[in-house]
Amino acid sequence: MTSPKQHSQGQHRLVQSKVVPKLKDLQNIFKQYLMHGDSAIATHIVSTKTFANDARLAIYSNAYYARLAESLEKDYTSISVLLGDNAFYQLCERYTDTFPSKNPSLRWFGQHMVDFLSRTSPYNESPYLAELAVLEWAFITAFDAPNAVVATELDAAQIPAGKWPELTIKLHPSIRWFKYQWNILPLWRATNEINHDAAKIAVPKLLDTTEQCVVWRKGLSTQYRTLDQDEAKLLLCIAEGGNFSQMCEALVGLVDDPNQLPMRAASILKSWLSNEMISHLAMTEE
Amino acid sequence: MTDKHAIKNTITTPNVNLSPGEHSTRQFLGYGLGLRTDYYDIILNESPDVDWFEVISENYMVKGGKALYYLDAIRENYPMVMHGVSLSIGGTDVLDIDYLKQLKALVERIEPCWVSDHLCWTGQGGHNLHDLMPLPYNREAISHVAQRVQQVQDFLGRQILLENVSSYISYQHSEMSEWDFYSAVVEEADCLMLLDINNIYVSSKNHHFDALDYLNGVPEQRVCQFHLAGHEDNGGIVVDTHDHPVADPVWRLYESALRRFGPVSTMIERDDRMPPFCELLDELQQARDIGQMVLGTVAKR
Repeated sequence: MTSPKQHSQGQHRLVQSKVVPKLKDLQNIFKQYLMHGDSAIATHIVSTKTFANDARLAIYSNAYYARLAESLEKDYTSISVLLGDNAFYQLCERYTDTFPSKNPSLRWFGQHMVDFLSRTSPYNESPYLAELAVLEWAFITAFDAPNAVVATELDAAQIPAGKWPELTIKLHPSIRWFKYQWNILPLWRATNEINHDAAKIAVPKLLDTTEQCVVWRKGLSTQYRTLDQDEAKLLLCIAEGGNFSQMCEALVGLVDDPNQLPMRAASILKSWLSNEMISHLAMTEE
Repeated sequence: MTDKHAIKNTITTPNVNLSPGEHSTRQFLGYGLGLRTDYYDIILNESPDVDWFEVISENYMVKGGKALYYLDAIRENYPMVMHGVSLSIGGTDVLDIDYLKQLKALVERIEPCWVSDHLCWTGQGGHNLHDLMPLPYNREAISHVAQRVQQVQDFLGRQILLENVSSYISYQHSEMSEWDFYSAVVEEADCLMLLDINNIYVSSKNHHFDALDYLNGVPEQRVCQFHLAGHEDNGGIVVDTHDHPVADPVWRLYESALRRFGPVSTMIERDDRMPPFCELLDELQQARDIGQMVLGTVAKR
């Protein structure tokens, strides 16, 4: 990638500062140079015959954007592939200027990308970019979400029939789900293929209906899949603290035979248990 | 926690497991590598002949998942040291207490032989620059850093190691050499040194000093670890990139360092253009061979 913000050389080598700045001021001046290109720092830097101060400083300023762009490229691979190197680097520079890092770990640097893409022109004119960012950030946060014990189908089998209506369910901490309107799943798959062929990458396309996707971690491996409408209703119900009885109510209108509501809810629950999406099943106390 | 790999030796120098101010013995761990994701499986499954691993602290400041799984599993088989990049010990913002709490929690989790970070600043005014920014070499910076090191050591309950960084600029108002500054900081702070041999070489080229003056100018008893790494030499300036094998001049400087300091735990850093693991093992063997050659010679004296 090329950097449009690479700082020019040959402007400051003859100027020297006689004022000794306090450490805090010196660091602030240096930071202003890295973040905003303010050249005041050059007067505090030694020039040598072989390498002038501005060329020396440029190593730091170029590294600043390059390092942060590299981090964003790892986090948002699909977006970088779709935009291409130069356009993505420009995006990274604008993002970095808007949301400079405030966390000691680069792990968190990309956390505002959805917000940035949703609000910033021209990216917000291609809404699939923000939707892809939701998906890619979900992968990152699921990947290192807290560990938790996983409930099993055996745990469910030990629950007495009379306890089921009051049963509450705790989702695995890595679960996140979201709605989307564009074909982001095929886009993500195509752009994440090793040696992907740019010509074969799916074209962004608006879907006929809004879909939902769930992302979670099974063992050490991050998983994703589309959610059926009834599954999405149940996840929402659980997230709001609903018990099994309320989960069944949430399915009203989605299951033809009302007598089949508990069976459908139990069936979905069984599938989630086998996929390690549930960390705890809790019965009410006697 | 049991280590299959025994500590190689001990020699007289400060002990990082003691409270700041107390001195006893320095651990010689032997020859190590950086723990990187590319090599998790091969390390876990094949138990390669590496004496110890250095982990980047920030990579494991997470709640769960793959990184912590491999960290814990590999720790069962190898001694580890922790190496941070974001302490900003030379920074002028107040020390980040949340960061220090995470650092301490990681220390308690993996019980490292020691904890290190860099003699630099990494952010200002609440912004993190994610780079190892050099300090001016003057009295104000010495006092400032020493006081912050003491705060960190009090918080962690152990001495820390500070590493010299590569630099591409020097400040108009520096009052002394880098090695005098570095020595003054560790003496005033009563902390230890992680001497990066490659960084000394890189900075010696960029600032036109004799790297041997650097080696001879730091207090022998405070040096606890060496780093070796590759760099990029474009003729005009040398950049610390960690994406090449260790260069010949750095190997020669390492040899000089061993003659000066005796047995010091040594590791090779590789962070980009990751080679097959066997190539890193070969490179580590080169460090061992030099160590054997030099320390054998020293022993015969």
